[in-house]
Amino acid sequence: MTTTYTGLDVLLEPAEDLRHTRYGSRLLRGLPKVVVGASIVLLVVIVACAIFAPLLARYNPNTPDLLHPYAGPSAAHLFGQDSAGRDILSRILYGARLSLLGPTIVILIAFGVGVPLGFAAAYTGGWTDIGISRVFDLIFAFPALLLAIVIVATFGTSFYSAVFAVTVTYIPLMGRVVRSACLVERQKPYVEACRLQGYGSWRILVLHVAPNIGRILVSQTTLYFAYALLDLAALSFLGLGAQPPQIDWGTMLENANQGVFQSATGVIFPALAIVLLVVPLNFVADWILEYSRGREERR
Amino acid sequence: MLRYLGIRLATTIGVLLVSTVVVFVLLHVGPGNPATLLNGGHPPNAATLRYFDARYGLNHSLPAQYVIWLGHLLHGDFGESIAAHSPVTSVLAPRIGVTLLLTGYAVLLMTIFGVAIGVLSGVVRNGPFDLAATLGSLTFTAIPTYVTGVVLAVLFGVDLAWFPAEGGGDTGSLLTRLDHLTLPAVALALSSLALVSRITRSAVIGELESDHVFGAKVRGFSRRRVVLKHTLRGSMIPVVTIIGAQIGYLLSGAIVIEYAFGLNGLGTLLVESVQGKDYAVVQAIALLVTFEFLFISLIVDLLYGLIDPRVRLAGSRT
Repeated sequence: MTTTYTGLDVLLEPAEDLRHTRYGSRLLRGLPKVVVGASIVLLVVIVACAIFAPLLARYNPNTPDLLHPYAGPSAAHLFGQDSAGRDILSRILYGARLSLLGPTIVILIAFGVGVPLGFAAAYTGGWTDIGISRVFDLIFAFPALLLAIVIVATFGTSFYSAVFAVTVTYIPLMGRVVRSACLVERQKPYVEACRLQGYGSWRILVLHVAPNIGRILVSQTTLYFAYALLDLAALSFLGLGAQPPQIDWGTMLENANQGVFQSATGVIFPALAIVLLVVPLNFVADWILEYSRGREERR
Repeated sequence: MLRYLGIRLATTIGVLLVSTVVVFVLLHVGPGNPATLLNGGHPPNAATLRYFDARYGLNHSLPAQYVIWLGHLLHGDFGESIAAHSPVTSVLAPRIGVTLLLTGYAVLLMTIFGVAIGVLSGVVRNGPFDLAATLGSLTFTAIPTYVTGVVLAVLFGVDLAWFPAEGGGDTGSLLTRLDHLTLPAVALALSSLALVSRITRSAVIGELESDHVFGAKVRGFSRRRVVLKHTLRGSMIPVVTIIGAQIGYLLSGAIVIEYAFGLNGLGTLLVESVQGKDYAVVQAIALLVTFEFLFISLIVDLLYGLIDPRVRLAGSRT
């Protein structure tokens, strides 16, 4: 929201800084391969859970069992049951679908709109740049979550209006990353060399600049996917996102939070699901960035 | 400096004005009608609708409504809450304290502990403390406030019962209220605290390697004096930046945390008002939060000048 959140992309900097310094301890100079490997495996498993939820889940996630509300974990219900006696494990599995679909849509649109805007701002400069940057600044003038809530207020509470609201706050984030990365690249001699050879700016952009900022972009997009997931879960948690009978981890957390005095398991598992998705995404984003630096040094 | 201040102030007010237009337009073009919502989801009859529109000024054109709203705002009148049938100011007044107290508490926790942990781990670089702090902050930056909040409520509020898990203790003394706000404030502050400590750590490390600190060491000053007198000030620019950015984040994070802990603050009110299409209240809260957000970034910009004279000079030259 995180954030909002405009401070969030600073996260990338300290990570870089930690690895850059010769004095950083070995553990921090690069993530151990095991951690990265485990993260990727975990992410694949979660995606597989979302896709194969109907095969994996033993119960219908919306079938109540009113005789056993807040039942603890048992052999029949590994993660226990929620306020209406629904099977928490099945709900986590099905909930993974919307929890992943939401940020996927956000990132696809934010990427598709933000990246061309960022390119255009950096490359054409002048009034185009000023115009685009001012619109971005205006969106950054709001705390991201607040803007998202106001947009949800406009279009009514539903999963898709929450997705749209979060998308609006991510377009300028993507655009700004691309714009500043492009501005840095433009100063480099190879771009000058291309110009001297008389290449058009689009050719330089697509064939020469884009591959060089590609990895920063992929790393940042991975990170934003994690944040978009958190923002959407926050909106769902506030009752402004997915509506029953839709299930995502945010709504599960909200539902369990209301019965927190009865049972903690309902809170722990969706919270764990969110963390187990977001932390590995952070590690992978870090690793992509590091890999790109490794390549640059070898060159 | 004065000229710089004037320009910054003018831009801030400009951005704030434009932001109110954005929120105003957004809230009024959306589908759904507050009269219908108040009527239990059924469209009211024409006479009621006319009365309703006249009472809340909804029968004017959109620009006219905005100008009227702005005119009232300049007289300290935020309009009338449709759901509460009373002025927005009287709806906001009892709740604003909770939000300010919660955010202030979280800002204090973040600043004090974030900077302290960051400086310590920067100074004892690579020691066990540094390692623990770095691993902790890596984890906590990735965990959202509402997850921390819910988990803290379970651990310390329900299982251990050290702190109240819900409610704001609104009627009690300041101490009771702080007691009630401790868990929410910790939950709100943790991920920002982690980030602040990381930035502080790398800023301190960078400064410790600078020539003037080396000079201070060579002159035989005690380690304490080198750190406190020669290192801290120079390393504060990135720290102030991140703290400013994070305060903005805490302001919106407070919305979620209030909701999670059942606190009667602006955030909970905002969520209720969004669901009830209570335009005036949403608009007022959006204005207040955006104002705080912009105001804080203004203060951060001015702080740069205080910390680093070079910024001050550059500012007065433009």
